[in-house]
Amino acid sequence: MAEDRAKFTVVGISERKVDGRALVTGKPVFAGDADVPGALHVALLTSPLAHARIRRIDTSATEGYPGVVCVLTHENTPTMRYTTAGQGHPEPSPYDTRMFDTKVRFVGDRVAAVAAESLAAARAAAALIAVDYEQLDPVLSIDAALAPGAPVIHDEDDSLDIWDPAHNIASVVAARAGDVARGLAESAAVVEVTVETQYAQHAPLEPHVVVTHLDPNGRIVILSSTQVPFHVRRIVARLLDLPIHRIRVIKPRLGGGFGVKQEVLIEDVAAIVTLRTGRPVRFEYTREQEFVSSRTRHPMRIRMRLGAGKDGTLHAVEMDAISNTGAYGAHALTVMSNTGSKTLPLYNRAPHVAFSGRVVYTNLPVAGAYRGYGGTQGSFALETAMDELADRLGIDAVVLRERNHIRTGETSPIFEELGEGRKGTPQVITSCALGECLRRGSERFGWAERRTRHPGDGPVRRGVGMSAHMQGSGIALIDMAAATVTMNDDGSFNLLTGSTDLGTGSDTVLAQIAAEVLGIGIDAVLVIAADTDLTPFDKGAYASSTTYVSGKAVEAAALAVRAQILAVAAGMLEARPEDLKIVGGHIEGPRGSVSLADIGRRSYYGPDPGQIAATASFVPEASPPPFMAAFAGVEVDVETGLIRVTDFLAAVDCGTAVNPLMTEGQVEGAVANGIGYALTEEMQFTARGRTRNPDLARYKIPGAVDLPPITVMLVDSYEPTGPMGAKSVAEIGINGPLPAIANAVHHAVGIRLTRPPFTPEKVWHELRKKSSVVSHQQESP
Amino acid sequence: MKIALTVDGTPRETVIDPGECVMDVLRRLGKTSVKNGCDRGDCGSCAVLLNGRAVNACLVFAAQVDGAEIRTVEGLEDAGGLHPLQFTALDGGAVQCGFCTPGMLMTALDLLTVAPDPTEAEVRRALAGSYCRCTGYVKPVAAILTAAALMREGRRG
Amino acid sequence: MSIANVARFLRPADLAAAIAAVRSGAIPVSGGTDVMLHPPARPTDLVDLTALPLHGIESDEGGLRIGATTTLTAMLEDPRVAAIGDGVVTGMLTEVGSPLLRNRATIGGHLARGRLSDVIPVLLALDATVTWHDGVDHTRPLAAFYREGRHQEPIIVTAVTIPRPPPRSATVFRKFSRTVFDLAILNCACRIDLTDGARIAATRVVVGETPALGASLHDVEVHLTGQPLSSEAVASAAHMAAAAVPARSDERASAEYRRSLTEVLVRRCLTEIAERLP
Repeated sequence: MAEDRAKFTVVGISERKVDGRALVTGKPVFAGDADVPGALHVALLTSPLAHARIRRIDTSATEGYPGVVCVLTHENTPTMRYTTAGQGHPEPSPYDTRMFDTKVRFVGDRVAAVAAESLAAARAAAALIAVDYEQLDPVLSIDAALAPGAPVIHDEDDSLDIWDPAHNIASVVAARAGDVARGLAESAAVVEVTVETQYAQHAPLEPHVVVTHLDPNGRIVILSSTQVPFHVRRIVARLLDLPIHRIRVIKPRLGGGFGVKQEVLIEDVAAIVTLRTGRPVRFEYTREQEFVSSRTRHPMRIRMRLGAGKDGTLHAVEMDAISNTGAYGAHALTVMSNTGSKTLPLYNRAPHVAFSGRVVYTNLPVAGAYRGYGGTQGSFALETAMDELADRLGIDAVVLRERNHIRTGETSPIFEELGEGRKGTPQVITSCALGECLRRGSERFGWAERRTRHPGDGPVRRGVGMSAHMQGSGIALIDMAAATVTMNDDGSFNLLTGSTDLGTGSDTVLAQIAAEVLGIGIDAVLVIAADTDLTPFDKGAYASSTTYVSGKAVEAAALAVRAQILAVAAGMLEARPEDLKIVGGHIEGPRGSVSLADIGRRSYYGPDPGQIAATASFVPEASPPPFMAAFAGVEVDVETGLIRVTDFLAAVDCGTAVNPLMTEGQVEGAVANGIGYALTEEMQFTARGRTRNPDLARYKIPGAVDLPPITVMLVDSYEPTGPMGAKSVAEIGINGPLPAIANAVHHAVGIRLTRPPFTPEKVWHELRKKSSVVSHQQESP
Repeated sequence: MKIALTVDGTPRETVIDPGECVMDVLRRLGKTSVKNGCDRGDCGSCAVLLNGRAVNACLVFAAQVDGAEIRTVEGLEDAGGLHPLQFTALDGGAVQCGFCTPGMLMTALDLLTVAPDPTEAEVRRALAGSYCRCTGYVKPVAAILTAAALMREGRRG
Repeated sequence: MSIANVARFLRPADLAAAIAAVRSGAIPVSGGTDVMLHPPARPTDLVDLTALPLHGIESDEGGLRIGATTTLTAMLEDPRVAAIGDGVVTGMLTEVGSPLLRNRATIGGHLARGRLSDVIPVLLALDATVTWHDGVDHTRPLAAFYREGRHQEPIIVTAVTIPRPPPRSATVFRKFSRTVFDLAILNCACRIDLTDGARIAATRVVVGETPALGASLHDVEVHLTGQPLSSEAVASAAHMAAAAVPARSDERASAEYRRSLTEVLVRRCLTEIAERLP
């Protein structure tokens, strides 16, 4: 209960990261740091063509090449179709991928892999492989994919669950409530906005890396930079035709993921080489491969129509989206589902709602899971349209959101209509402080005053914009997390969790939840995480699930252990368990106390010994959304088109912030990534589909010097279904900058930016095209 | 060819390839805190102090560091405990995934050696070539400023 | 990035041995950052210049002589460099690459490799000269050095000399890029020397437009010379510059946009100069 929170002693405290000391002292804790004597190195040969059939592949030049041990091509590897998307089973993404295929579908697609004694030898030998390609016409845009008579990208007959391969459609999604056409017709004001988002890449500082070896019993051990160790184990087992229990997957410290490591991209290759050679193997993506042969954010074209009454109350909401999944349909269906499901419930006043989404294949790099997961693209469309509606009706942008947003105790038909690639689950909002986020965020940002300020007459014009957002907390009724808590003989505890801290600090958050329940400090909780041999199942780190779903499992396991402890203590203290409490490592009763260490010792050595331990599972029945109000200040140089973000404020309702400092950090990092997405980040392609900027010199992510001051306000709320009142926070922040900045630019200079990234040249073109600066000045008070 | 150098205070000798970079040599010598984030000087994850100045170890020929002194984040801690830069990063929530942290701390150390009392803008400029994708730099920059204050007072973490 | 195709890494002790190696095909290396990023295509010797006495900054009445193996950071931190043109060189250097690159990259390597640059336009605006060795020493204006393709010959750049600008002179540099740590979409360096009668005695208008190194816009310079530095003169010069700049398109910007930027940047540089010069 919310009132319990005042008594928390560990949750709500900014504890240091449990892995922090090792990280700041540079200890070898990442997969790539593993010292594996005698490891083979893998180099990948990738396709230089966007669309081609492999007529012949000649690896003879690698035979006898010094150091080469193993060469993999489509001729000597398993041919079953699968998806690289690391999702729960049965997987919602189409089985359209082979380890090595006879057809290549984008520049960067796998052709062959060479394992050799050194990386240099592997690379040199890979370059000697001769491939005879039959070139096919490439499909390089959404429109080209949908054009009549377009080349068919997946013309194979063994793929599964592709919606309409003959027309390059990977997946479709639709959901509706009411009659949107009627709703729009009935509305006093209708606005329509179409946005088109770009190819963007996660760019974690650590590229994908895996190290494999055989353990003394001949089992394969996969040390991987993955967000989903259990899904890696399941998918690799199927590909290699091994029983799941012959594989062990360990996730060490991870150098960032943001969704790109929810994908099984390299583990299969390393594992098969280890299996065939008996040798340890190391396989790391280069930065270029991390861009090209990895995963990206789905580019989308979204048409948004809103109908509202004169007072701004929404009456009809229609979202029509097309996404480009690239050559394979990883997360194709589910990202598209989330484009609607993580946006449309936000404004539940409208009785008429329709969502439709199509996902098309192209011969471009493959899209996948990326922080925000469709919600980022969807909320850009929705919040741009909301800004336009506010403008049209002369209603303040904040007020328009206040009039329409969902509240505690309310629901939206979309929750039931739209799930993760299938029907969803009815859900009533059990905590929503978006109203507070809007109110307090506006106040702190100075919205009312800044919104009425004149943009200026010089070359630099000022403006402010805002947007509102929701996300989710895990996937309801699909994903499960389990945790085990065992007690040690000094009164400390081991927390075994299959969850995956990818740098977010979730191991620390889970330790805090366990420590809170067990009445001890976080130092007395040893976290053992993400090792499929040791830890119970967890779905992995995605969908903003770890704090809420894994946290709830940890809380339940800790509560069960607590009950066992109290039962033992009750006997020792001659008291009823319900009269006991654990405070600072001691169990206190009416007639005395006993330490946790005493209980721990007794549990091992008696009298009457018995391991104190419990395992608990949690499957969420709902996915309570966190909420956010985002505010951006900009300066636009009308002569050059340069946008400078002057300040950014995110007011976030994530329920209880288990670790406030780390919670802020999640939002700050997500906002920074979102600002990059809005202003500079874009993968560019040549006319033949080759990526033009596959490095961090040409694909520009923001540096410290490029970012404005970012203010994060954690607005209090309590989610009754979450652990200690917590919801999620990892993704929502990334959704804010794109619409808030675009809306601020509209305020400053009167142009509606719909195609990120908003480079100076694009802005300059828009300014010239519309000459809107002039008209804006005339309109301004 | 063979080179001799001092790494974190320890004299080392090693045989190198003439085209090899310092990052690969240091990692081979076990200094795995020197991270390979891009292998072309764009990200700063491999930054080390070379004769006192922070450089991208991936862009320095190992053949040119014969006789040089190199410091990595692994040599920052001493008997007094964590270096202020490490302490404030840990305490201030400046570490998320921690992959960029070693390079960023060495880059910050270069700055604080030259400018012991930097402004926030100077810290941000100093980090121009040190990318972090997790934090948005808010807490790392604050932690460096706090570390600078601690160092001016001559305090440890 | 460890690179292939390095046959030997030579570390000669004197310039004579170094130039002999270069004349036999070896590539000179000082900071090495650019050679790493653009390695030789065939097995080649590298010759290290850092052991040679080419390091350091000397000041005399003619200006500053900066040794080739001086790092950009050493320049950036030198008060004598900061004194040139009200800090125009120092200010520009803070926008070049990152501190990590500037700590390693040297001025000689930068000029000798001759790629996209913020340094070169400023040095061109300041009428810098470059000194190189090919068995004997040569000194030429930087503009001529590139025009004559000297940087592609087997030479060793040994120094750059930045003359001290006359008393009534100001130089301003502007860089326009996507992020701070990025190559410029366009940069611009302008210098104006005024006569006692407040007319323009000499001027340099240098625009760095990708992918060239920086072009001195002579017609604009001629146009300005002899005029007072009025807002009309600034506007017409900026307009002329936009028409004259040999702008090209690449993945970062179109020629059309670069042309427009040229006008804006030249105008802003000249306006700032006008504000600075009494």
